[in-house]
Amino acid sequence: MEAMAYFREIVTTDRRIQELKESPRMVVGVFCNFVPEEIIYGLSAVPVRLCSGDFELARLGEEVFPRDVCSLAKASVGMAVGNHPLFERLDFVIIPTPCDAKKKLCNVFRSYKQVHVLQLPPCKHETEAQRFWVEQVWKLKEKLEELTGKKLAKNGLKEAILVLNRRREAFMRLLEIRKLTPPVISGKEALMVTMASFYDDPERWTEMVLRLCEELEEKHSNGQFICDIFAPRVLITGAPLVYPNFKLIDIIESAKAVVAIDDLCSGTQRLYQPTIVKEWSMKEMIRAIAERTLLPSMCPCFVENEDRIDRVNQLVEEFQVDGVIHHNLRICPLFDIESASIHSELKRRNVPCLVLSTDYTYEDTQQIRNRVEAFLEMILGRIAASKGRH
Amino acid sequence: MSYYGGVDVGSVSCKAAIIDASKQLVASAIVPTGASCREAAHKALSIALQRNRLSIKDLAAVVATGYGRDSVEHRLFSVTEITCHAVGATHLFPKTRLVIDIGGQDCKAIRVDEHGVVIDFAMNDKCAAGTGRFFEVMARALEVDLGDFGAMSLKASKQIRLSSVCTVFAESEVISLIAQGERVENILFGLCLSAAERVKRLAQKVGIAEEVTVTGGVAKNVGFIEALSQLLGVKMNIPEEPQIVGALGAALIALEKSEKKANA
Repeated sequence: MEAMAYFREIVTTDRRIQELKESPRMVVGVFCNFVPEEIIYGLSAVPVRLCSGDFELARLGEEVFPRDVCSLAKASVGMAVGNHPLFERLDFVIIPTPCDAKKKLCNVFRSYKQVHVLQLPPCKHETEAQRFWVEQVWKLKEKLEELTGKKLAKNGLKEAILVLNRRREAFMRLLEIRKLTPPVISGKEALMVTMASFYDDPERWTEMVLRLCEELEEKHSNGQFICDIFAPRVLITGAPLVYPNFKLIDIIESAKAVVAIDDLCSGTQRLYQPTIVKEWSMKEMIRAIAERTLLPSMCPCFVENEDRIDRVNQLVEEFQVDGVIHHNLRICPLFDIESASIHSELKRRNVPCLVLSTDYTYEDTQQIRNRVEAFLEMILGRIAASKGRH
Repeated sequence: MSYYGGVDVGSVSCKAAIIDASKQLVASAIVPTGASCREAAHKALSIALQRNRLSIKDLAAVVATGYGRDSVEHRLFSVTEITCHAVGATHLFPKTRLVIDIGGQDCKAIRVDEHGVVIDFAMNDKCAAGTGRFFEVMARALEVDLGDFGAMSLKASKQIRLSSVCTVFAESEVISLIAQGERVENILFGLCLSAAERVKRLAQKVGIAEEVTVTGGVAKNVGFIEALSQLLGVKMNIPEEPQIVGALGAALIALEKSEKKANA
C-alpha cells in the first residue's frame, strides 16, 4: 500500500476506532493542541483529538447547543449526542478553555463522560501566566495518575517525549518536501497526514510519514508533479479545517492552485514545535512540555498574538507563497477579529490576502468558489503584470 | 473584421457585449436570466449580434463571466466577474482605482493599480443589504417604481438615518416610518444612505481611492450615487450603461487572449 493510502484509511475509515476498541489501554479524548500528549502516552493511555469537521454531527449538536455556536463546537457536541463510536470508546475527556464554546462544552460532556478542565491563561507571554500554566500541567498529571491508577515514571515520560519529538522530525521532513516546486503532494493530502496524527499510534504514524517522504522524493526525481510550475501557491491561515470539512481546500485545489502550506492548529501548528528538555528530571520535563503546549500556539484566544503574523510571513517566504487565504469559521469572533490585522499586514508587504467566512454547510460553495477563483485570477494577473514590467 | 463577445450571466439579468478589434463597443443586450443560464446567455448574445447584423460566426472569441459563466455555450473560457468589471471599468475610465459593482444579489469593491491590475477585492457576505434586491424590496414596500427611486429620493427634505441595513429589518423599519407619516422621498433617500453606508464599509476593506467607477444596475439610481459621493467624498464615474461593464470586460479579455494567441 502506498503511504498516502494508509493515511487516507486512518482518517476516512473506522480502522483506528476498531483498533482502539480492541485495545486494553485507556483512551482519552482531547481538544486543541494544548493538552500535553506526552503525559497521556507516558501513562500508557492513548490520546485522541476530538475536534470534529463533520456537518451531520454539527447538525446533531444543535439539539443541545444553540444554532449560533461555531460548527466545530456543535460537531463536537454532536459526537456525544449521536453516540459516535469514537466518543463511546473514551474513558475520559480533557477540555482546554480557549473560547466560550469550549468552556460550555465541558458542562455538556459531563453528562456523558468524566471531564477534566484544562484552564488556559489569557496572556501567554506573562510570567504569571506561564507559572499558572505549568501548575495546570502538573495538576493534569496528577489527575491522569488518579484516573489511570498509575504513577507517571520519569522514564515513561522521557520515552514519550522522544517518541513525539521523532514524530515531529518526520513531519518537518515532509514540510521540506512541500517546499519543492512544482509540488508532489497536495495541501489536502498533507492535511490528511497531519489529521491522522489526531488519533493514530505515533510510532506507526512516524514510520509511515518517513515512507511517504521517500515516495514523494522519488516522485519528485521522476517529475511526477501534481500540477505545473505556474499553479499559484496558497497558504491557508485562520480557523481549523478538519476532516471531512475539506470544502475550502477542495475549491482551491480544483481551481488549479495548490495549498503549499498552512498554519492551522489542525495542520502545521500541531507538529511544528519539539519539546526541548535540558535535563531528564520530572520537573524539567513538565516545564518543557508546558512550554511546548503554550508558547508556540497561535490561537487567537490569547490577548496578544503577534507570533501568528510572524509565522505567516515566515511561511510565505519559505514556501514561496503567492497568496494567503484567511479562513474564518462563522460565529468564531476570535479569528474574524484577527483577520483584519493579518489582511492589512500582508497588504503592507504586498502579499495578496483573501478573507473568507464559511462553516460546515455546503450552501455557500458557489460563492466561496467565485471568490477563490477571482483571488487566483488576481494573483496570476499580478504575476503577469510584474513580469511584463521587468 | 473580427468581433469579440462577452457574456455576463448574473443572478438577475444576463448581459452581452460585442466589441470590434479596435475595442469599440458595437452592440450590447440585457435579458432576464430566468431559470436557464444557458438559454439566457444564448438569447442575450443573439440579440446583441442581430442588433449589428452579425452572426455567431463573426465572433473570433467569446468569454463568459458572472455566476452562470460555466454554462455559456461557445465560450473560449470563463473569468470571474471581479476581473471582468475591473477590465471593463478601467477601459472606460483609465484612471479608475476603485471599482464598486452593485448587482442584483451582491456587491463588490475592487481595488486596481495604475496598470488596471486587480490588487485587492471584497464582496458582501451572503446578504442582500445594499444590493439591487434591497432596492427592489424597498421600492415595492413604498409603492414606488424602481426607475423613479433615485430621482424621487433627491427631493428629500431631510436626512433620515435608518438603523438597519438588513433587507428584512429595513423593510419593517420602512413600514413603521410610513405609519408615522414620514414623507416617502425622505425615506427613499434614507434607504440610499443606508445602502451607501454598507458599500462604504466594503470599500474601506480594500481602501477608498481617489477615482471610483460604479458599475452594475444600482449605479443607475441617482439617489444612491448622491448618497455614496457624500460618504466617500471622491470623484465617481458612472458609465453610460453600467450594467454591461462586466460583459464588456469579458469581451476585452476575449480580444486580448486572441491577440496573444495570434502573436504566440
